[in-house]
This record gives sequence, C-alpha cells and structure tokens, in this order.
Amino acid sequence: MSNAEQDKEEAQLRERAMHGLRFLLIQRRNQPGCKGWELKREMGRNYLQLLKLVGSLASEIGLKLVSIPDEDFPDDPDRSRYLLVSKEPLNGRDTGSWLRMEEAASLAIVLSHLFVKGEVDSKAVLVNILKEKLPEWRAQQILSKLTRLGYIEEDSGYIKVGWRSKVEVDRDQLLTAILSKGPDGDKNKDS
Amino acid sequence: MPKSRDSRKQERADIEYRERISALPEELKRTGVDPFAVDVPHILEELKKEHSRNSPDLLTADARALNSVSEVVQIQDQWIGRQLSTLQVDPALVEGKVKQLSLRSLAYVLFMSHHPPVGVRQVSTKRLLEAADYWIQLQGWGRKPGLPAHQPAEQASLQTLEFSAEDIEKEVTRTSEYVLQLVSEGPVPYERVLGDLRGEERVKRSYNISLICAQGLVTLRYDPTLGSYVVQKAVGPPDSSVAIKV
Repeated sequence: MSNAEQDKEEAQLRERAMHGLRFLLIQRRNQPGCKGWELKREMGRNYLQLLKLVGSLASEIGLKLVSIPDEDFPDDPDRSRYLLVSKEPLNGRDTGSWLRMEEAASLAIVLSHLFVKGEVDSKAVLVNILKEKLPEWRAQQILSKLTRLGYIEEDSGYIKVGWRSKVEVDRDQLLTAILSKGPDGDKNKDS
Repeated sequence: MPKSRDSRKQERADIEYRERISALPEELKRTGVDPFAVDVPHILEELKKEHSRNSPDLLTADARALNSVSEVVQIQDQWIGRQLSTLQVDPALVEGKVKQLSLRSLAYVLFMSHHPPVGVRQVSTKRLLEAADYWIQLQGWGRKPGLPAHQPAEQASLQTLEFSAEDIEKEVTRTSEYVLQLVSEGPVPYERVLGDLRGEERVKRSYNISLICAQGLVTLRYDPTLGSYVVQKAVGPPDSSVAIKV
C-alpha cells in the first residue's frame, strides 16, 4: 500500500471516528449517550475498533468514553450503553447545583458504604446510617430522589449502586477522598 | 409400577431442594452477600446422591439446579475479579471517617470524584418559534405577574348580618330541629332545606346549616344525579367545609 493510500485510509477512519464522537455528543433522549447497536448503524460493523479512536479523540477535548453493559446481556457490546463523561471531576460552580448539599453528602455516604460492602445492602441499614446526619424523613426523601435519578436502585428492600453512579462516580477516587479528607474546619482542603 | 407414598414425598422434597438451589443466583445478585458463603462442593455432593432417580420432574429440577450452581461459580469468579481490581478498604475505617465528616465535607468529597456525563441538546428553529408564539400570546409578556384588578361589589348587595350570642344559639337549635326532622327519612336537597327564604333570612339559615354540619349533626353530600348538594344525617366525624352558593 502506497503512502498516499495509507493517508487516505487514515483520514477515512478519522472521519468515521469523528462522526461517532458527534453522534455520542448529541443527546437525543433523556438518557445520555447511545446504545452499541446505534453506533454500529452509524459507524459500521467494526465500530468497536473505531471506538478506541473515538476514545482518544474524546480524550483530546477532556472527555472520557465509558460503556455500561446491559444487565440482562452483559457480554453483548451491541446492547451496552456508551456515553461521554468529563475526564476530570468538576466542581459545583462548573456544573451548577444538580444536587443540594445534603443530597450530595447523602450520596457520598450511601456510595461509600455500598462500595465497601459489595455494592448491595438493605435499605434499613442505609437509613440508619443517614439518620446519624439527617432526620429520618429527610433520609427517606433523599433515598427516593437518588433512586429516581438513577444513582441507586431499590429492589425488595435492598439498595444497590445505580447505573449513573457506576458511570459518574469514580469508586477509588471517592474512597480515597473520604479517607484523606482533613478534619472539618480545615477550610484550605475544601477550596 | 406405582410409586409409594414415601417415595413421592421424598421426590417432592428433592425437587424442593433443587428449586431452592435454582433461586440462589438471583438471591446473591439481589442481596450482594459474599457468594463464597454458598457451599458449592456440598451442593454438588447432594445433587450427585439423587442423580440415579428416574423421574422427569426431578431430572428437570436437577438440570436447573446444576445450571444455577454454574451461575453461582460465575458470580464467585466475578466477585474475586472485583475484589482484586479495586481498592480494598476496611469498611470500619470508611464508616468511622464518614461519621467524623460534616455534610459540607461529604458533599465536597462527592464533587471530587464526580465525572458528569456530557451531551449536547438541540432545539429546532420550529420549536423555538412555537415557544416564542406561546409566550407572546400570554398576557403580561415582559411585565411582572399580578392579581386581576379588584372589582368592588355594588353597595346594594352588601349587608351586615347582626347576631347576638343568644340569638345564634336559639336560631341554631331551631334550625337543627327543623333540619333533623327533614332528613329523618333520607337525604333532602339543600335548596329544599333553604326553602322559599330570601335575602337576609336565606343567608342566616345557610349559616346555621353550616354550624350544624360543623357540630356533626348532619352532613352535605354532592349528588351527581341531581347535580346539587343534599343534606343527610351525619355518620362519623364532622366534614371539612365546602363553599356553596346560596
């Protein structure tokens, strides 16, 4: 293959990857991102290989490509959901107040507990933990809201980590931040 | 050869045991307990014991149970993978740290590990024009919302009803006797209770009826067949108030 042909092929691949990136960026429904079969339709059969290139293009603009396997068919990439998230954490000022302070704090408490307990625990245990910081009615209200938003999932009295938390919250970063957080009143560490 | 009662009983117990095993993977996924709490070698030994029986139901249950055992082993495999690939932290340590931190600090910790999804939403020109039309059609566009202008009632329609405490008591007693007699045989339309009274007397009677209702002697119920309210004997606690044009 001559250099000219090679360059042309690279340009074509890059163009297809750019098309995939644009497709992933534009939100069509309430849930962000799209399914693997949609990408297959847009980018062709070898979309999984092209997604590596999409990932590196996204990385250049500070984004990260993540995939969430389907619960019923975890090994089928066509049924997985693919979406772009911010590569670095953003502070509240950048994103606006999508959660109130006590809701964000409750999410941190719930997720840290679930992450160290195998991702599932009973709702009663979680409410008891939250009750140490909040009134019970508020704890129940917050758990309902977090369930509605997809950060946690409730099933027959058990709470597990929801799909949004799996995508948006970095488990290791959260646990490290909790363990390394200075005592309250140390303002320098919060800013 | 027909089966004996004991063998049927044994077969049912064996099937039930296999059904319990079949439910294990779902239970493990739902509760998140350590999958190594399931004693797989023991289960396999138990299944092996009963393998020679010649019953289609038992064989089917046996196949399902074996499939579930393989799923349990898969869950154990995933569990090990997860434990090895992620940061291992002592739960008590995290719990203690969470107790020490304030809500503000915990919220900050979440922001430090939050990677929000990124997406671009678009609005078509057509939808934008529709939205603009809608807002322009609304009265008060660009102005502060306010209450509609107050229209004063005509002086002639305003009258002051004067009651003394004794008068009210007498009026209420009289009206309650009258109303209770009226409703003794069933619900009576509200208009009939008011009768032919007009002006001040009509308003006074309706006021007295409201006091009787508040005492819990009678109640008002909307009758959809008549399209109006009826008065009837009260059952249970007094009703909440309702506005009625008299």
